[in-house]
Amino acid sequence: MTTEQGKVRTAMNASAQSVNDSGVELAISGMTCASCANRIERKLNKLEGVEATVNYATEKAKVSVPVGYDPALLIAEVESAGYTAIVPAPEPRRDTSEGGHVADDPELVSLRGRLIGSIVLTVPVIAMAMVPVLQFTYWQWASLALAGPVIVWGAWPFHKAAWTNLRHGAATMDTLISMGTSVALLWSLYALFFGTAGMPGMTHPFALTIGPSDGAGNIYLEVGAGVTTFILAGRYFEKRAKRQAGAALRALLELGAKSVSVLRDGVEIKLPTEELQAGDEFVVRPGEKIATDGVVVSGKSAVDSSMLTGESVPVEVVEGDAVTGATSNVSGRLVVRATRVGADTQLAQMAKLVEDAQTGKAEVQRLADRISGVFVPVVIGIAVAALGAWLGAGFPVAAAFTAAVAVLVIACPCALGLATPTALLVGTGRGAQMGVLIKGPEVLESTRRIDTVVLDKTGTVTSGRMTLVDSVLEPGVEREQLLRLAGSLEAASEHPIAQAIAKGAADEIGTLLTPDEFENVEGNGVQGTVAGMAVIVGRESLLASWSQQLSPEVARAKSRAESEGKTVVAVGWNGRARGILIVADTVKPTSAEAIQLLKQSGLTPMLLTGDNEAVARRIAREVGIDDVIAEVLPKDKRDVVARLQREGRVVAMVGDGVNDAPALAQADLGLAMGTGTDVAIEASDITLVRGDLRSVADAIRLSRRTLSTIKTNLFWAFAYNVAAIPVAALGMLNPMLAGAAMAFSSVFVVANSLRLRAFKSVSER
Amino acid sequence: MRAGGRIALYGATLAAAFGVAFYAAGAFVPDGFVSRWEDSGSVPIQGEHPDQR
Repeated sequence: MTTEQGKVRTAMNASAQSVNDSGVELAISGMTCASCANRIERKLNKLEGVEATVNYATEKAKVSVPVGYDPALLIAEVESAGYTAIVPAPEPRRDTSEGGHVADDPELVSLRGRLIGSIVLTVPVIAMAMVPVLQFTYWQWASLALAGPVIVWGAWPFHKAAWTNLRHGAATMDTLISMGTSVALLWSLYALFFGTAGMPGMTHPFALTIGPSDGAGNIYLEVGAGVTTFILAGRYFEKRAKRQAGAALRALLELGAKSVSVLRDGVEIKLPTEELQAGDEFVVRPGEKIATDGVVVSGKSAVDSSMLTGESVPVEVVEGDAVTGATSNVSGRLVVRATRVGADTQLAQMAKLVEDAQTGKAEVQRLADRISGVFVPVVIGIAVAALGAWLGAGFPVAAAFTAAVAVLVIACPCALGLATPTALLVGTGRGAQMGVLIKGPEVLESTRRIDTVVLDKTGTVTSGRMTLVDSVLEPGVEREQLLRLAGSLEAASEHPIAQAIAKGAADEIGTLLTPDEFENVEGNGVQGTVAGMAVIVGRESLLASWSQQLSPEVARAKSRAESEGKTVVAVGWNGRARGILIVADTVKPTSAEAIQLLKQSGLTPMLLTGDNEAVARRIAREVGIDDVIAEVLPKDKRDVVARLQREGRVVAMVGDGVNDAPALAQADLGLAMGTGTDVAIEASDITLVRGDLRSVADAIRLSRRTLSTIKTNLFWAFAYNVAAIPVAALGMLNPMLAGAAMAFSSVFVVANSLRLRAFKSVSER
Repeated sequence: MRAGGRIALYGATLAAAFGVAFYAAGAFVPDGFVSRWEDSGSVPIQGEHPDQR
């Protein structure tokens, strides 16, 4: 067994649990371009029952296999293609201060060493070739001594990959680079040893276009060294960009607490968070992070969840409230019982969403991969034909050779292979930072065609929480008194409507009173004694049972409010009805702005709700939606989306509830509010971590921008290659400048993708 | 098709491309064009150091 195989086995044994019926993830090494990913993918997909996608950018293969499939077979298949693969061991938790450093990546370190060495050796070679005055008597031999290591050692990764490809009867851009630089070196060796180029005092002026020359009198060492160095530079920056683009995911995973104070038999024991079990009770002091998702067992505090939700206002939590791991305890001491640990926590699930998106592949990338696969052999054919044509026309061999080398070098599809992965990595990473988790890259394609956005009402356009919105008083009653008595009594109840009234009253008048007596009349309301007065708050029927009747005027106000979908609570004390309190689910403060943004993006917003038409229209008017689909049963929401699709619309659905899940799955693009249910999140394509509807516009804008970046990248990679090939074949390019321009195109693509990091969400503008 | 067969076929295609281009260029590019092109360029003088000019 080779050392490499030994490593494979060790890694597999360490992570056998990562193999399950949903698939295997392999970490692939040795890929140098999109063509490599393409080849490994084809090899894996030839195996029976195996479906694989290989991503060059993340260097990972996602493989769907039958249950019980031995991953060693997959690894063997990858190795037979000339690459290495392991089933990655679960990543140990890393300290934030150490995460993401260049020093962590041996491949990047090796690349940097080759790049620095190549730069140091290449600069004098190019300088001597470009500046005739520097061409001292034996400059050509000095050039050979300097350029030789660059072309052999610096370009070694390209030669190695080219050999791997050749063994499989395939050609990639590495074949082009390896061929271009090798041909330049071999020709120079020939000219130096067997031609006239090695003679003392030979000069060799730098030229943009090629002229007639004696081939055996010219050396192309600056071409070989220059191309190698430029390509190495492009590849180094591309590697660095890949790491930077992945920083968002690493940052997300590093949000969690590192240790936890677990209560065992009433004694606090400090443990690493990984050892925490569901059901364990742990202590969270002010300033500490909550170790995992759980429920508050005792204590009261404010919790800052801004790192997860973006909400800047801390949320008050008391006994019984759910808390999320990685959020910070701001004020009091809490004892929390763990409900979800490890991969089940909200933080881990978010990280998985991002990971899935970054490991998947978009259709546009498949196109680029396919093109790379046929592009290379065609280019070699063009180079050979150019050589033949120049020679056939009677041009000198050196001129023909120069044209052929220029074709080989200019056609390298380096930028082509980078166009999609870099944009995807940066786009989804930026989305994660903004609270927009894009589940799969194919989502990007969907967002391009969306023309209609269907919005669920409750929890999406509205807050989904009851709020005290109004009161109507009987003659002679003061609002403050009504609120004080009703609020004080309702504060003792846990019912959401009672809590809404208590909160509304407390917000308006301050501290509430403590009831002397309290009774919950199940399903009807509450009654008790506050400040010596017998108070009843609840349904009109509850008051009627105590012979307390609303006046006709107040009763009319009650009917009007109820017809608008609001909830009305009657209040009476000391034997008389005193007024009504109106509570309702209110529109989120940012919803109207969000709808405006959607309209500005050319999208048609529609409100979808199970409420009656009047209620739906009122909410729609408030936020600026013109199209309303009301009185839809939960099970029919999916049919509504399907009907819109049949009408030719391309539909995005935004929802949060379990009942929205089928519609979210049916829609061309499903967006779930992160404040909603897990089912909705699972069914959607994009999760909006914050409950802010403006994130919908952000998500669509970011997805469209990412797609547009991919297309720009692809265009430049294609245009550059296709346009430059005839120019090179006609002998209009110096091969060295061709190499420089090509490396520039790679850097352009990476830099263009990195521009997505500057994408600003609505709230940041 | 196995790798060896693919390489052989591809090699044959390249040879054909070379041959076709060679004979096509020989047939269509006038001799005078090549002569003019050769005369128009600056030829590095082999074995001559700038100081010796």
